[in-house]
Amino acid sequence: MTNKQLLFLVALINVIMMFLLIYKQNKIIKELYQLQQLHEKKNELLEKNKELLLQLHKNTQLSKIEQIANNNFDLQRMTLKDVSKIPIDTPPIDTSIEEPHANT
Amino acid sequence: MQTHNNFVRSLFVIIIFSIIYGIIAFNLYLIQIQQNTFFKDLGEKQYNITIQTFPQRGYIYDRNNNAVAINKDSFAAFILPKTLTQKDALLKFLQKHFALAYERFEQYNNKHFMFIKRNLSDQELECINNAQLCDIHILKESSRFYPYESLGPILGITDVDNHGQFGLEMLYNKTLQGTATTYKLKKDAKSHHFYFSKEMMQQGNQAAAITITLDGILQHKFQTILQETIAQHGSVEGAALSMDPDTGEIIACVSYPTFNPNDTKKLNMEETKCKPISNCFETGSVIKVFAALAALQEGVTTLDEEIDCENVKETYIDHLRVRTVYPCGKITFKEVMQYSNNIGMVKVIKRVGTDLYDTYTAVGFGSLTGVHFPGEQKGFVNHPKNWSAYSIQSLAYGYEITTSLLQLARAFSLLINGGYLVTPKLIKNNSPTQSVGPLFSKKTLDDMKEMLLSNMQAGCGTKANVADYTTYGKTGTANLLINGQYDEDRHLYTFIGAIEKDAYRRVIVCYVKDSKRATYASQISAPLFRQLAETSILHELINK
Repeated sequence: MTNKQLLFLVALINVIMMFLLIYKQNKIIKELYQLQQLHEKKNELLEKNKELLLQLHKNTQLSKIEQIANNNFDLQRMTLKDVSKIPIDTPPIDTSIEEPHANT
Repeated sequence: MQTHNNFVRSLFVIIIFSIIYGIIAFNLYLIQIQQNTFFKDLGEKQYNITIQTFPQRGYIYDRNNNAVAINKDSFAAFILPKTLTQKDALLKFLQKHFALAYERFEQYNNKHFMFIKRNLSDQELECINNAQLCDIHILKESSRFYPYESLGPILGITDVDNHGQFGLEMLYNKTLQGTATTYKLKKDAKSHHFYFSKEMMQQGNQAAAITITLDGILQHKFQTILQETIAQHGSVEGAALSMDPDTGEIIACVSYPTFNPNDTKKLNMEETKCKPISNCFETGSVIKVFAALAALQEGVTTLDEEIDCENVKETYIDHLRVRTVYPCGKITFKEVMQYSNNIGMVKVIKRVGTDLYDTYTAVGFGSLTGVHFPGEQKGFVNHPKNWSAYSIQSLAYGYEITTSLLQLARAFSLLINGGYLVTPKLIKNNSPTQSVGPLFSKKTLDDMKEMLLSNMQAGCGTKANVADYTTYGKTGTANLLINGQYDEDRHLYTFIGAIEKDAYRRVIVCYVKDSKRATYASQISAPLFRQLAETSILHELINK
């Protein structure tokens, strides 16, 4: 290989390496950008979750539920007198073991 | 000649260019080497920024893992006085809708930043948005929401900067808040959001959640029942507490009057007090439980000993007047408790003497319970060195001694749990139950239980009986101290008691202050106790 050809090869390799480096850096920045976009999206969803959780707790406050129960459904608070014991008769456990039929 | 001229011209050009390049080289030397640090810092400031991120404040959960304190966003409006574009319109708007901010504006005229108002209500936020003034900016800040309003006195609230102000929010502020994490970001000079790299400079502590021993739903039910009782009797104040006598865990702790922790614009400090823990009062006849405990432990009497109560409402013992509500003749000591007879009680307790003080202090009266709640009061027990001739009889039926409901619950617990004085708990964790004891003999405790049972069957506590559950208890009707004198028409009605069945045990104590007409604790606090006990049973055992 002549000197000129060698020089040309070295220059070509260097140019390719430079392009690969630029490509790598480009890719990293692109991925980083996407990561940050996802982080922002995640934060938005977390904020939305927080808002919904707050709405849920506001709407399930006991005082509100009691109001609806009393006014809309005419429900009354249960007392211990309203609870009655019902005895459950449990059937006796069958402890008999069936004899296996003998092969004939 | 021409050659000489050419040479001079060339030399001149060379010299000029050398000077120019020399200046450039000198500048390069100044910038790159001499002022290297300055320009490096300037560049770094453009490209590197430091940010701090604060963790979200930790949630508070109740014993059933229901969230009782959560985070929400609140909004603050601010202006930048030095960069206003519509000053007149802004001032007109502030004058109409935010008068306080309008008054402050003069002082902030030369400042960079001014809050109009923090913690804006929904209406105020809508008003600002509708005004469409570009000089008003909105800032999102963190604040708290409390789904169970009745827990307000226990949990406390946070201020506009989301720091705990009182209650558990204040006590555990550091745990709930965490600390900021500092990051260094590398950005280009123009971009606002995008960064090339992120480096953590200082790791902060994560905010931690805490779990309390209280039951949010039961707390709400207790609050409702207490408020109904107070409304029914035209009372001014009341409180109730439920405790597990074996572990010391406080299950419910309610006060009236109380406040809504989600609406703190007008806060009455008296309503923010957790009355079962922070209020101490003269208990009246409930203290007879512990006076009887002292008498039985010291062996100065037995349950069956006949005591002559003289069948009168008023008598003199050692020249000192003693009065009682129900006159009784010769009755057993057990019956003295049943009928809450002061004459019989004084005759027995006089035999105990100064040991009465030792018993009262041994069961925790006059000292802090160890619950570590901000504002806890330790109450008072009159020391024997300060006793007057009246002291022994006053102490026998609940005067010259002040206690809180929590102290009463703790002391009553030892009658139920085998004589152990447990440390009450508000925070649920894995730490073992702290207790001291057994402080009294088994015989004494058995006798006390028998006495308290008979009280429920035939004494003043019959209206507190809970069907199918072993119920122990004692009523107390104490005269209120008004302007330095005891008012015989105004009372504090107390009930201390416990329910027990199989493995389920609860100590419930309550008081109601004042009523429309003078009456007794058997008519007010005893039925209140029964309702609270039945609610506890329904909620904790049946509705599970």
